[in-house]
Amino acid sequence: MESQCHWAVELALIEVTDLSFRYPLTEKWALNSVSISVEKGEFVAIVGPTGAGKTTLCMCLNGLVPNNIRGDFRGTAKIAGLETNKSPVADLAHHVGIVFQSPESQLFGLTVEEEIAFGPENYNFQVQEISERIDWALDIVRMKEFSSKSPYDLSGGQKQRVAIAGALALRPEVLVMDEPLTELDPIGKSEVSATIRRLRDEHEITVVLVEHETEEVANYADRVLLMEQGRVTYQAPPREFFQRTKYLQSRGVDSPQVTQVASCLCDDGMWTGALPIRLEEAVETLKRLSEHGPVIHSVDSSSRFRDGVESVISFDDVTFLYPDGTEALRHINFEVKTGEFVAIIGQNGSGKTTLAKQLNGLLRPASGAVYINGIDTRKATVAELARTVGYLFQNPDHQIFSKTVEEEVTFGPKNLGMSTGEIESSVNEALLTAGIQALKVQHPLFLNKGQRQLVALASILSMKPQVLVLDEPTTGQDANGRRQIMSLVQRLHAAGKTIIVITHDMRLVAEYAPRAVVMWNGNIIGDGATRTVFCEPELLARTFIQPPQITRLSYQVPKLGVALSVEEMCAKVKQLHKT
Amino acid sequence: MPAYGFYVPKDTVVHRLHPASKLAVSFTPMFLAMIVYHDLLFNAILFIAILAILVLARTEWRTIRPFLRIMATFIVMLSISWLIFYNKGTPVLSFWIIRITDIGIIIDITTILRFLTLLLASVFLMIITSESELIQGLRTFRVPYVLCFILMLALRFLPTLISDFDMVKSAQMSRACEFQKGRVLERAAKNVSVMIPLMVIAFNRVTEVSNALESRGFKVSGLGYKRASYKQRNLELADKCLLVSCAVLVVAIAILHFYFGMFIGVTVSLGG
Repeated sequence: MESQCHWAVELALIEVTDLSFRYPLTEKWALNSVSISVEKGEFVAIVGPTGAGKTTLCMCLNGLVPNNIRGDFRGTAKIAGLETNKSPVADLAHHVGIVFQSPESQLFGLTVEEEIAFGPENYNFQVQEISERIDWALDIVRMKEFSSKSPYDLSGGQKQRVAIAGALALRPEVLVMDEPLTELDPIGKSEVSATIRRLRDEHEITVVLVEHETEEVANYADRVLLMEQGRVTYQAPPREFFQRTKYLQSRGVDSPQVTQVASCLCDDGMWTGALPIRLEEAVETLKRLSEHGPVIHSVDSSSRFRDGVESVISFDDVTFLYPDGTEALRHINFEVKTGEFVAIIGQNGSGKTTLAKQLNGLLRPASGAVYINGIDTRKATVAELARTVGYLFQNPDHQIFSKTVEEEVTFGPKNLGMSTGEIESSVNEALLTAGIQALKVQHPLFLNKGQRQLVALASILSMKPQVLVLDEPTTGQDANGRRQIMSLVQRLHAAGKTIIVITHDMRLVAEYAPRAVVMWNGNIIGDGATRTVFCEPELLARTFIQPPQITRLSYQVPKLGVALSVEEMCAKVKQLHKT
Repeated sequence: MPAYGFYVPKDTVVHRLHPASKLAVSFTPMFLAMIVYHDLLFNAILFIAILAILVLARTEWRTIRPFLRIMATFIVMLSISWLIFYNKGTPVLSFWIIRITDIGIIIDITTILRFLTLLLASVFLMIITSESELIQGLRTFRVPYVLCFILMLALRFLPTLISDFDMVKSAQMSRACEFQKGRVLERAAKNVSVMIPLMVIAFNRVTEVSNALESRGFKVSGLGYKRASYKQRNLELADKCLLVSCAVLVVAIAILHFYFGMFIGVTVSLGG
């Protein structure tokens, strides 16, 4: 008896052996003989490009695959000794808690309290026990004061914390989180990230976390797995893992920016020893490397205040009210010149989207006026403004409805009443620009998310707008997908289009947008060259926006000036070193 | 983003009632108004009773006004049609082919009072009961959990569905789609561009929600599956008394009305 118990302790909590899974009607194996084992108390992070099988693996861990989502399942996945394909999901649920990406779809309680009670209620616990668990779980995620609120009224970060508490309330041994930060704004990200850190530091719970943000992964994982094409191809503790920066990059995974800088300097023999994976580890060496030589003053190559260029967009003291009377925009004055590339940043609810919707008349000012190419939006229809302003919504699924890609892209030009010849040429041009001519006759719903995004973009481009408004174009994309869409946007900009991007992705802002507009509480509180805006840490801190890691690193090495990208930082250090 | 729903949290005797009692308090006048049609006095008392309950719940005029405004046209139409088309009894006013009679006026007033009672009782239910309490109330009356759960999901995801709808519509408007323009068939075709994305999104969401549900140990095994109910409050003595008196009232009035011919009102007594 005793030896048996001893043996049970030795056994890993998660034991996946030779696991393969294929969804019905597909050729490709979503998982291809995956073997991993996770010890009790371990914190394992999984990174990898989109479509690598990360989500499928998560769903194997709590038995959703193959119990709920059926398909060709081979091999075994054992959690706490239970074989997941032989135990109902309900039996596994109190061993494995799972938190999904979208906070909206995993909360079904009418109040926070009921939401968390939901799991324990399903197991028919005593009311007293349930109420203790609610208190305990809400305390971990620091949401006690919200217990009687409706989940619908919470912010994204708060919703995600409630989802974590809901999973914890069953006191599972393992908590699986599938990209819990992806859909959140910067405040939400930092809240949830702090919660995850607390779970790691204060509670003995085994965590499996899928995450794109490698900076976060470097902060809390004990071990990192790389998944690609259904296989685990590389695993190591984070320090060792990220040493292979170039290899990871070739697999579509970006290492933390500090690691990338060090790796770049390593090539020139300037960095010796192990590469840093956290910001504070890089500061000393960089200070030493930039000891000699003069202080570098960054000059912005792109001056946005081009005189003589006309404004394509101009806001004149615009105020906008929601039906319930809250002011979403307060006395906004704002101009965009032809050919500019502007990023609008700020938390959810700061007024970014409300401002963007004024650009094509989806919303119209309550007082003041918005002029698009001199046309007052109050005197034009959305369809008329669509000729000038193309608005790409975040989720391509919100607009795709046709049977073929070509038909989808034709919808806009047809609505504009273009002639047949015009339609054909503009559709072909749009497909070509987006690089999806090959998909012309495909059904858009059978394409992957990245391709659908391109279809949605092409369907806007085919209307030949002068201004392009992009709402969160990179959310949920991996490093390659992000680069693909942003280099396309950059080409469009180079071809003369005016670009306005609404985004939470500060690396995107730093690397691509020459001008940044910071919104807070319905006001524009910062507007200028991105470099200048990122030079004001106080302004950003006030709006809870965190600049990219590389920029934060440059704050600590003042001699280098503010750096916006890895390449820039590398170039500066090299320049200093030469002198 | 403003929250959906009409519930206004307050601390009054009425708000503190058990959810089941809240359901009973609003459904009793509704039943009674439906059973008894043409008795002016009865319906006037019922109307005053529902007003009294609203006052007790410290309901503000501005909460009720929007509902009345929506129904105003209907009430006016209802009132005119009774006056014009009911022509039994002594004429009070007659011109051209229209005869307005004394009984017509009485029935007209009664009908409007009945209608207002129904309206106010439903409004009352909406403003004093949170969605969560509505489910608890139904559970107390032993409505099967699975049915309550479906209703709960519907209530929970209604705002999400509305915001999805707005989003899809805005996205297609941004592609120069004008929903108001064109002939009937063209407009129908335009609506396809909203319906399809909406269905795709809803379908994806259903998959996600069902995965999330199962991951929390939810199982649907028939209508009577045993499951704890954390929020369930026990009925207090006062609530029990209230429920019993509501039931007695409805049954008593139904018997008096149907078997003993009381509360018949003017129609029959004046030889209608």
